Amino acid sequence: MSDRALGTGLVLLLALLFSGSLLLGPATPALAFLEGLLADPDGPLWLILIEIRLPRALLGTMTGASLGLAGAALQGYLRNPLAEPGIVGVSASAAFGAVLAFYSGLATLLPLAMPVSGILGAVLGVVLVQALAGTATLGLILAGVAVSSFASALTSLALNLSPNPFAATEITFWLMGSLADRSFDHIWLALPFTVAGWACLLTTSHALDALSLDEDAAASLGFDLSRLRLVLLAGVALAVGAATAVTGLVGFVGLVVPHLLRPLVGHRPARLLPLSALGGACLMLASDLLVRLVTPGQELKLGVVTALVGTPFFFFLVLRAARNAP
Amino acid sequence: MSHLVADRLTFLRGGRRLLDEVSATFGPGGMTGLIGPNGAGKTTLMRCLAGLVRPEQGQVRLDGSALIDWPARARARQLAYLPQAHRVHWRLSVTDLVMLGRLPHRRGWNSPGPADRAAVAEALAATDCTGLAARTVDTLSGGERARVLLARALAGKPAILLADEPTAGLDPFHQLEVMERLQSLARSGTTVLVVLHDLSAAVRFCDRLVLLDQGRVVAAGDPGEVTAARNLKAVFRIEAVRGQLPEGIYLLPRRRVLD
Repeated sequence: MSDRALGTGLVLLLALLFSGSLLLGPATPALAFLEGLLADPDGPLWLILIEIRLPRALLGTMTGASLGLAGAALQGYLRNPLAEPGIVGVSASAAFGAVLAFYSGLATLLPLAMPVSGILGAVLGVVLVQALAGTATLGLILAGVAVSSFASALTSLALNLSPNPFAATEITFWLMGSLADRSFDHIWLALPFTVAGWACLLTTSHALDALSLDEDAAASLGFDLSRLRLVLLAGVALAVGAATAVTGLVGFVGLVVPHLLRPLVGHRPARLLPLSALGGACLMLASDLLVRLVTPGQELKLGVVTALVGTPFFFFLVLRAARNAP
Repeated sequence: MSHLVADRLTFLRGGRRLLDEVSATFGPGGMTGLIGPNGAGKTTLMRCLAGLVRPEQGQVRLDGSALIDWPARARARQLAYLPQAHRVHWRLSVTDLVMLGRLPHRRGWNSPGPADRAAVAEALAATDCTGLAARTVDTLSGGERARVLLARALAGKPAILLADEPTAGLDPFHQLEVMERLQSLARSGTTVLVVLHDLSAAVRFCDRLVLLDQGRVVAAGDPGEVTAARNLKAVFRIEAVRGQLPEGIYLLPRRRVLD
């Protein structure tokens, strides 16, 4: 399949899912909702559309694209199809940053404290990973696992010491990841970091292609690999940190999407980047629709659904890797 | 016409001198072979020459200016490095893989242009890989892979090619094939420096040899002289049978010398 056809297909799918996200809801069927909108230009349905569903759909598109793009970039960089944003410690440290804001009470004073400290957590986590990791790729993975474990331990500590059970429950629910009850404030806050992250990640495309060869060959093609790592980690921290800070932990999007698309783009890391961003946005919106429609009463958390769908996929990948191992 | 000069290179790693004041000049119109026993510093010297690592002392000069002063992309357009048989990490098509050699010539996010496609076609033809273009890398045999990787290095039309054991793991047919291609490349004006373990191939195909031992240049120059019996004995600890064929000298390791 040509890139253009695939890209167009994904854009159409995204448009479809985005419209679905705006029109489909637990209360009224889509057609009735649309009729209601057209019938009453100042009615309450418009309020639902603009204030509730639009930010949710936009945020889903944005964070899904971040996760898909970061996943594709990390898989290309680590030359490992099992890599995903969580592996470099970004998700866990972003989550800890946000939890800290919640725990300290800062979040109640200033609603935006949570996303801001989430992004700070992600950046700190990546700085720590970068400081711990040697030059080797394996060092990066090990440092990521170490920082991830540390951040998770600190998050557990915060839960453990939380002043009241209500706060602990609140944190736990937030950690599960969701697009519900988000406003344009969240979007404006995450947007600059997200766009900066995307820009960083997209500039790595040629270098990632070169890394399909060995590191020496890539360096001999004129790519500065230390700089590449810096830009890539900064991109992942900004994009995924911002996403995690506003939605909580949503895993596996960055793992699954590049994987599904890779054979369709001839396995080239550079071509995978923009298409994975589109695919990530699609998967995020589709999962969110599923969450809203399947269990309208007690809404499932988005992160729970992506994990339930993603983990078997991960099992399958591990099995296949084990079977193909020499 | 590009010249690559190693000027008193000293490279240290973990307190060991992997290179010790190595000086050599590599110019166009001939193929230079770099020989020496395991651990002599051949790959380290290649990596210094390719600008991948910096020597502690001395400098590498490309066309008169220090290699470290060259912008990385400009250097990459002049000089191609083919590391020892390495992995290709994704199931790329042969065309896409060879196209990677064009990266130093491409700007921004532009797709490959007609010049890139022509250079790739030329590199595929020069390495007899045109028929493999649509295959994916994981379906290639060892010999086909070596040729495709060579095509990748040639696609950038480098003035200088550094190849680290390009014939390792190949059967005799493909060893000869790769050596002949490198030789014809050198004859057409490219500066070719190649690390070889096969002394016979080194003597037969190279116009000049550099013999390294424990990080030092022991001998350099005419292949026959560099592989003189005393050098083989002192450096490789072997004795060899030497003969003359219409194509050139051949060298057959005969026995180890255990002093």
